[in-house]
Amino acid sequence: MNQAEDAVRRFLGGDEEAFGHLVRQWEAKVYNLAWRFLGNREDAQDVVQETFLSVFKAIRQLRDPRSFPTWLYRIALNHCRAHWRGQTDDVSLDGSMEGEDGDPMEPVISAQDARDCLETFDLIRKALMGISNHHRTAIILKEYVGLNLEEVAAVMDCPLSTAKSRLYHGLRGVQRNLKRLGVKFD
Amino acid sequence: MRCDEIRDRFVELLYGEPGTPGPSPELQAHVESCSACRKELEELKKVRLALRSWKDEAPIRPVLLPAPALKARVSRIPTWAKYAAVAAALVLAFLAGFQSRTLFPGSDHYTRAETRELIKQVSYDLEARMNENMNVQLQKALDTIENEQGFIYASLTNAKPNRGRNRN
Repeated sequence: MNQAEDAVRRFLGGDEEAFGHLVRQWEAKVYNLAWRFLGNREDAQDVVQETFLSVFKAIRQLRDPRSFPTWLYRIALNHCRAHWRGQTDDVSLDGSMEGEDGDPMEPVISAQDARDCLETFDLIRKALMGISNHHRTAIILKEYVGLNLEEVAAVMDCPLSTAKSRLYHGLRGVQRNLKRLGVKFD
Repeated sequence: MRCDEIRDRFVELLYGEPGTPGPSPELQAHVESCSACRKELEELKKVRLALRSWKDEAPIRPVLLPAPALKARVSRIPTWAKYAAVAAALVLAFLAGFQSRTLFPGSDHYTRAETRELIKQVSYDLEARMNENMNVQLQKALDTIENEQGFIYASLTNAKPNRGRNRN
């Protein structure tokens, strides 16, 4: 039994302090997931708080404590998407169209965005913000959270082939945006 | 195999995950023979490297725990301290009763019988109110501890605490 499963079982068994252990174990992961999704530290922190509040309210509905990580990431991503819908994009959306799920499709990265980047990771942040939510989610779960492809598919609630496709197109989108930002791949 | 047919499967070449089926021989053979696909695959590997330049960082502030989880933490006040608080409240209530002189007006000092009666009345009164007030007092003590440690009661509704925004 891993630490998360143990903490969940103890909390469900009445040990309310175990919830604090869960939070300490997972808050950094949730924060970094949200930060990369939203590109904004304050919003990421809000997502962390909202996520654990939702977890606290709903954890008794969790049927299998072993699935806590998948369940947690889904809740976090739901909160990320809610924030995204309310957030003003800092990437130009000229000429963009919305996909079926309301995601803006492939916002345009401009040369001004490159000049605005102060740090290397800022280039990556801009490049990631410029792809669709589905593609960005797949990249974050695989590259940063460290899930395997099946786990990525489980969190995104999609077939494995769809998860692979989103990951591939996400990487291609980041590649294209980095080139627009002046990054060379020679 | 056409290039556009297999590019979705580049992920199998990029992420060789143990325990999962690896890329098929046809896929590998195509990449080895197709310079365009090979070039794209190499660039995607560089994209992965670039992605790693965005390092994890610590959350900017700790998560505020919901009140029941917080109370579980602060309820670790030693039992002796709780009894000491109740005893102190009893003594203070007794002294307040002793000083009030509303029970036996018209005398400069209490007789022994009056003192016994006074203590009995105060303790009865205190006992009657203790159950009602004890939780309130302990709650106030918990709230004070919460404020001292900088915790804020997190409502289980969706109301957000008021704070300034500093977007980066």
